[in-house]
Amino acid sequence: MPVSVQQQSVLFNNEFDSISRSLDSIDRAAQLGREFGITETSVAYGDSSPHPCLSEEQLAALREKFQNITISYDFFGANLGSAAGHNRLAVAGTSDFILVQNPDIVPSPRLLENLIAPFANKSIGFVEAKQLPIEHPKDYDEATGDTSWASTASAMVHRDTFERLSGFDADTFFLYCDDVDFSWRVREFGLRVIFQPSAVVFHDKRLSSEGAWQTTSTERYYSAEAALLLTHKWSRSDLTEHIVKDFLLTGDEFQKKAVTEFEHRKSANTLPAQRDPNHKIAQFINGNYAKHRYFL
Amino acid sequence: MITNPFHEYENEFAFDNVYGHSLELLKRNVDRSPPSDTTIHLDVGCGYGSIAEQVSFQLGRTYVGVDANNRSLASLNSRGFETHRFLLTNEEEENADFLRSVIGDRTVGSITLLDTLEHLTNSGAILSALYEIAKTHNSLVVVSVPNMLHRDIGFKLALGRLNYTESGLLDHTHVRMFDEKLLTDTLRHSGLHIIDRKDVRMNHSDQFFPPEHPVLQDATMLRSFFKNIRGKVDDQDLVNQIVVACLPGEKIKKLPFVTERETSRPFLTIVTRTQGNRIHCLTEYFTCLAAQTCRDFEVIIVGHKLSIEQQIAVERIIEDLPIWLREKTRLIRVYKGNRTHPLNVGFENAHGRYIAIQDDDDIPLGNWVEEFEKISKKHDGCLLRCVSVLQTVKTVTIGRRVGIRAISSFQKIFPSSFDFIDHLKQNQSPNNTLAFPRGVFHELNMRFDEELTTTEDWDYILRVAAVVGVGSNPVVTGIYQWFDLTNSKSEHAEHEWRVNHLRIEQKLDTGPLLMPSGSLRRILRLIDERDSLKHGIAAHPSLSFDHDITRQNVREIYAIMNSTSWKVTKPLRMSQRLLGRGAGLKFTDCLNFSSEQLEEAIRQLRNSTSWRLTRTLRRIGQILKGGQQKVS
Repeated sequence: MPVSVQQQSVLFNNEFDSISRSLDSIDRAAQLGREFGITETSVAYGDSSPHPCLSEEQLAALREKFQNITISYDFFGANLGSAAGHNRLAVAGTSDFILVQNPDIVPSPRLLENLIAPFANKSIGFVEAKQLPIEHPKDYDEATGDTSWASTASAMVHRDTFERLSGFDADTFFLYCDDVDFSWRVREFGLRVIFQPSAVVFHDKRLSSEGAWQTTSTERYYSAEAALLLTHKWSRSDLTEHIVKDFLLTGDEFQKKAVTEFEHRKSANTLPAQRDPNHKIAQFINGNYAKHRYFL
Repeated sequence: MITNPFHEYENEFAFDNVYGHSLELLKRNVDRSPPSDTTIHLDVGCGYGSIAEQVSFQLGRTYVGVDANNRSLASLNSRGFETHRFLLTNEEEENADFLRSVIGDRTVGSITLLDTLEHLTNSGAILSALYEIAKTHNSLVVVSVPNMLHRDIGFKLALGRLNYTESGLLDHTHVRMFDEKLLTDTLRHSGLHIIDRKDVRMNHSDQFFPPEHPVLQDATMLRSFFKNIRGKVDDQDLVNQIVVACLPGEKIKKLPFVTERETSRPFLTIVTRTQGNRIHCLTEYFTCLAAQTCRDFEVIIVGHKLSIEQQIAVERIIEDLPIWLREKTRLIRVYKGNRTHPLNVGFENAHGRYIAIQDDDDIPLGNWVEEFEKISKKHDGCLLRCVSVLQTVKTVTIGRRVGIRAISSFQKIFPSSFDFIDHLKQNQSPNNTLAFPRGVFHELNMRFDEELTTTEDWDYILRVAAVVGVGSNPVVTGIYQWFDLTNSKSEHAEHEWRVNHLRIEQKLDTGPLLMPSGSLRRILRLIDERDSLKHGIAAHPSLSFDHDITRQNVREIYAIMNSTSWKVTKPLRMSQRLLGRGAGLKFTDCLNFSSEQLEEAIRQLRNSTSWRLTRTLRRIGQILKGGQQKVS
């Protein structure tokens, strides 16, 4: 049955070269997707940057160059973050499937086929691609792909599922863990979240000269904030308290700032309602949201 | 035509000189004429006609000599041969007309132009004339010229000496210097195509002087080094005279001299071997290439012994690529040789200024090409080296679709910089960390040793590094994937690795070795370490070299404490010390230990967290480096 896909990405000061490099491969993936019955692939950009990442001329050039996709561009005029940005892009679209993806992702040629094929099984709600060159260390079932959550660096969801769940929780999450929360709500809804290692994408991450994972200050702050919100929302107040204490005692400036923001929300009574009281869905293992196979 | 007033070219026929070789080419390529036949052999620039008797006797041809030298022609006449006096000119028609007048209505079966071309300012004028005659008569044309590339000329020239002589390779009347390529191209431009050759080779040419020059004296290291390098470039280093047989054919328009000094090239050629049985890996690999921040590269996939199904699968992967990458990618199929052969084929076909190797399961980071390009700006022409980390992976199948699953953290088992001395012992640079300058393969003809069944990369790295040096950058740009179940180690027996090691050692040790600057201090430091170890042992009677077990134990402790495993886990031991778990063992302390204390120290070291945590690392490291396991 013919299906349509909207690949959507939120821009924030992304370079034109990076976007263009990504589109080179997206366009080819869309062309090959037709063999699999994906009759229409659109790429929706939402720009949260202070100034537009793409000029009219650049957009025109991209549209001219990439004939296998339709490109839409929405300059938000404000930094909506990841969750709200993706929700806005999703609402504007009509495709059967939504591929939530970082704007610098370079997909493998058969990505769309590999991500959509698992949906033939109606129990599956959210399918994550494998990131290269640094594979996410969270565990997944080697036979079924089942995993705790899916990273929206590149992950596919059926629009129906996305809409039934009202998309990402933009009231709670700004930049990180919106995908963890969404994945858990997919599973709470009764659908499976799977990791598909044959669906590969390149997400440009670098290693330190000692081969260690490198994080940015933005990642450290929003990860810290999201950890507090996620533990609270998924009824692990014991962990929330532990993290607060830990951040205050030994945390860096970003973690302490995250605690301040959390306390502010708490006093303003804007924390999300708690769910999963019996801890059936959410996983908090050694500071991660899934069991990890190895350390990065 | 420049004549020589100082020398008469009165050289006798010999089976192993230019005349003997020319006759051999004639005999190999034309029939002997029957007694009544009037077919002539035209010897242009005949001199004293050293081949005249042989041509007449062995080929049954009527010999006709043409030259400007009266004395040489008189000599031929006195021996009963037909001659014609003519000074070759720069005008093709003039030359052709004269030769036609000599030939008359006879048939020209063969022509020789021996050691003459180099005296002509316009070689095309005589070659074109010979071409016209050869085309008319279907004649074989044998041409000889002195070889400018004989090593006796080159070695001296490289060190500031050039000697023209009264005759010989650098005869002062030569106006053009030929090598094999220039001769071939000059002949083709005139419509003469080489069909056979029999060069005259001489270990010592007439340019082998002065005998006291260090580059000419057989026992010197300098000569040995030059010979080693030059001897691998091509087989022309000992050719004294190039002797070829040609037939007329199409005139090739391409000019015989260089018209474009530089060729436009991509920065990098990436050579990737595949046996077509890890298609899912190729998908990952190409996805990484599609994401490179620097696109100034081309890709050569060398399919080794692919079945039709495997070939189709690889072709489909290439067909699937984004257009820009597909246009940069070529599949070359190879059906012979061991795993080293595809590397030579890939390098041969590379257009890039640098050539790198990626296996079909390697993972380049986004800056893999970019970082090489950055190093090349600082170390142009050197072997370029970045760093890769190791990750253990396995193959999984989900929903009938095959993928790769990482099962370990990144392990940095290779050093951040290239140390030539350390590399002599074992390889510390996996293929995906290196880019070889094009010139070593394409100019110096340094090829992978196909007799090696393992560690061919280590051998090549050492040979290349010893000639061009290495430019390093500590940036991690690649992931070397280690498959949990299969690896090259399991495919090769231990003795095979050992034999290959010995061969590499032997090859490097047979000639002088050029080492990078800084090596002296490095070697002195190693000598100091050795001496201090010796003195330490000598100062303690219990560690006498007579006492084998004690000596062995001290060495084992030294080996452990100097191992990469021990060094990389230093932070761990420091943290343990911070936690109050003792001050840690120092090697110098061990020199005062009794035998029992030494054994206890070894036991503790082997049971330490540092050593246990790095056990897998050591195993994989030893395999990758192709080394024997020294400590377990």
